[in-house]
Amino acid sequence: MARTEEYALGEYTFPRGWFMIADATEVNQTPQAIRYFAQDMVIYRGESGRVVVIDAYCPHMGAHFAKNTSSYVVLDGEQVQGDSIRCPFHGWKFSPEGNCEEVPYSPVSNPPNACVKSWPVVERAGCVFLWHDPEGEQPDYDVPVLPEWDDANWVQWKIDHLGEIDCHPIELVDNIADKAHLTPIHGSSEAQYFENVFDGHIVIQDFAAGHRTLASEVLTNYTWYTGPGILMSRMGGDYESIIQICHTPVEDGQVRVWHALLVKSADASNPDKGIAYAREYQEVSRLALMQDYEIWANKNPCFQLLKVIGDGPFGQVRRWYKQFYDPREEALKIQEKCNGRIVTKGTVRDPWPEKKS
Amino acid sequence: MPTLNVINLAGEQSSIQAEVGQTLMEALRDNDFDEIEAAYGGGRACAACHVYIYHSWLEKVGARGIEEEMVVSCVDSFQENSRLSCQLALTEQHYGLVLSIANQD
Repeated sequence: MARTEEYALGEYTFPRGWFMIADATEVNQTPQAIRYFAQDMVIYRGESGRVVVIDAYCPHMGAHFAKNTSSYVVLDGEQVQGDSIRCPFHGWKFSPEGNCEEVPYSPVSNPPNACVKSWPVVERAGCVFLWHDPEGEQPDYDVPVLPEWDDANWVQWKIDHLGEIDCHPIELVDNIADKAHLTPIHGSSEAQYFENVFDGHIVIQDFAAGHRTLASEVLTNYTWYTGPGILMSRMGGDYESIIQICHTPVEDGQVRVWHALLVKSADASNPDKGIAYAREYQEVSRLALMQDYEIWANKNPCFQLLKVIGDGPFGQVRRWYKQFYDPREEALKIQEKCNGRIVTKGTVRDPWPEKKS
Repeated sequence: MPTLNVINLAGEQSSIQAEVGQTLMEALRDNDFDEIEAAYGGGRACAACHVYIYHSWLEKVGARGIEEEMVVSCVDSFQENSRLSCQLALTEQHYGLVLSIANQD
């Protein structure tokens, strides 16, 4: 696995930002072990419905909060009470904020140093997002909103789990600049235009072209990263749709990937038909992503690409991406340098200049 | 050693020392202008060493070569005073050259 250090991305091994960590439909009152950013964590849903993520190990003696099936705390169904969690080893109870609320056998009810780290989490559109921050501060931007999720004209997605891949996330993020792979990998034909806009923690790709499987005419894609790990794409074509692709570091040089597609195909007179169409459309979209995935899964790491004219702005994307590996102060400087719009030529709208003889 | 005056993407000016015989790209890279990607290592295929020469210096720097012209005119940030710094071999003539670094994509 190629590590962050080898890409010279910055001070931190793992980037700052919001990251998807779970399919919300799979989070329940049974605490589950999860691992991201090379750290063991536990996720559960409190009785109020709130999703809680804490470090995996009890500060008392290091027992794992979730990897237990035989403790009587677990067998008696006493592990999640309210939104709090009880350690299977000695029954210590911790609030969702990670403070010890009760030591069942001791007159010392809440030892002040007995804290477990609780991670900021947000549940949105069937996904759980976690704020990872090497500086340990509060989020400085929001998870992208998705009003269509609750709109009756749209069919809600079912998330595709694409598993882990031994590939540094920067290689996935490169894709936002990669005009030249669109024809060989995805079957795009004659690009109408291709441009990127860099705006603080957001990078946008605005692109239109024909496509073999997703549209009968020109397909427009307006795609953007909100931070380093959440990609959304508004697609025109036969039905309006919104792709979400999330990737989250598990280890240094390894990411977990999810895909989902929201489709404006709801049909009040025939709900099953609208849903069936959305599921088919999502499958076509997933297969398009798998065309990238196969490359990522088998490629050598690219520390320095052999760039030619006609490639998109990989350099600028990588400069933009570095902001998440440095302290906020440095990130602001990087943003100032990167902000702006870059057009990649070689399209119908922006052809190559005519050769001077 | 020629002294060059370089304005980076943030608009900050600095003076650097270069050696005669180096290309301008090498001089910028050696002086840690990390904005210069020099992605192709001087192969005039990528415009990742794109700079703007101040107009008062254009005559001394000379016209773009045919291949250089083809490459640099393709990028979004192309201007009349664009040059690929990998294509400019520094001589005594370039003492005091003023240039700014262009967006590399």
